[in-house]
Amino acid sequence: MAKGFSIVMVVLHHSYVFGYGEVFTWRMFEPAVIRMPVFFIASGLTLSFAINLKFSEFLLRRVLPILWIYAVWTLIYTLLNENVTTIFPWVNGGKTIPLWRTIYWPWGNLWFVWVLAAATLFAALVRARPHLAVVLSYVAAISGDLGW
Amino acid sequence: MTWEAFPGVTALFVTYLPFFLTGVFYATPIFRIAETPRKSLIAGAAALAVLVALSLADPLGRTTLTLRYGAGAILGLAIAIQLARSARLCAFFTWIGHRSLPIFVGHQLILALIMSFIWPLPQVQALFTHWPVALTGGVAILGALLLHAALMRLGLRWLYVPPKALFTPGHMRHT
Repeated sequence: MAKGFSIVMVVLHHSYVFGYGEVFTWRMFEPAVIRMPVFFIASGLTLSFAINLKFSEFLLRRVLPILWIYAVWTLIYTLLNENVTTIFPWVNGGKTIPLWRTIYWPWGNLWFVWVLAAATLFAALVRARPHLAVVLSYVAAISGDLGW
Repeated sequence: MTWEAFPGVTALFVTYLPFFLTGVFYATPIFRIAETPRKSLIAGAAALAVLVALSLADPLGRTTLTLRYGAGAILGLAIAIQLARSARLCAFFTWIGHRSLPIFVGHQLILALIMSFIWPLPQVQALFTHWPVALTGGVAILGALLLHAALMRLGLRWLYVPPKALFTPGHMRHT
């Protein structure tokens, strides 16, 4: 339900960016503050059912499939951007990002898939200390916001 | 120094990791709250979001991002829980949610095709005079789902799901 709600918001956001070339904000409200955190929480809720799998099985069933999706769709977007039309006009001036660079620099909205794979792997690594991991992750995010 | 100074998507990873881990490790209390939707929940979440926005010195800037995302996440979940009270809306968003992967990877492609080849047509622009973002978004979702259905029918399931042989441990392949 929450995942459906946030994917609709994601598509509306991209429609706006495509149409107007900027991110939608209204006074002090930016839908991004709801859209992406909810999408990640919903993805986390989905993963919660599998978090106690054996590590090797977890890698095979949860992490590698996400990396597969990332690799396949990076190739598709690259081919289409080169030969058909600009897929992400607001990224890199619409030019294709070299494939080797996409290993650590995802292209357009595929950053979500990359971060999801990394976060899924991270969750498996810290599952023995879940509360500490959550607290430290908030501390890391807030200290990054403020600078150090 | 901030996380933006690090290469690639490090900053995005650090920004969203707390929310993902919250979903993974606090699923039980979140589901428990979702079981009993109350109007006070959405009112409280909205009040918190407004309070956070008003009390921050940098309401749209990077320095307050996690706080705003935290308040936004609570508000978003409260809205989703409230929407779930309507059986039809709940069924619709659940249906969409189960198809979030094909929508996520396909909608950008559909949007690019609309903007490049269909949008320039004057007849289309006349159709999209009102609510252009909502209409374009609706077409993108529908297009991504149709693309998914067509590719599956063509036997290209591997575009969305890795081939089983690739992700099955060797000792289990022949069982």
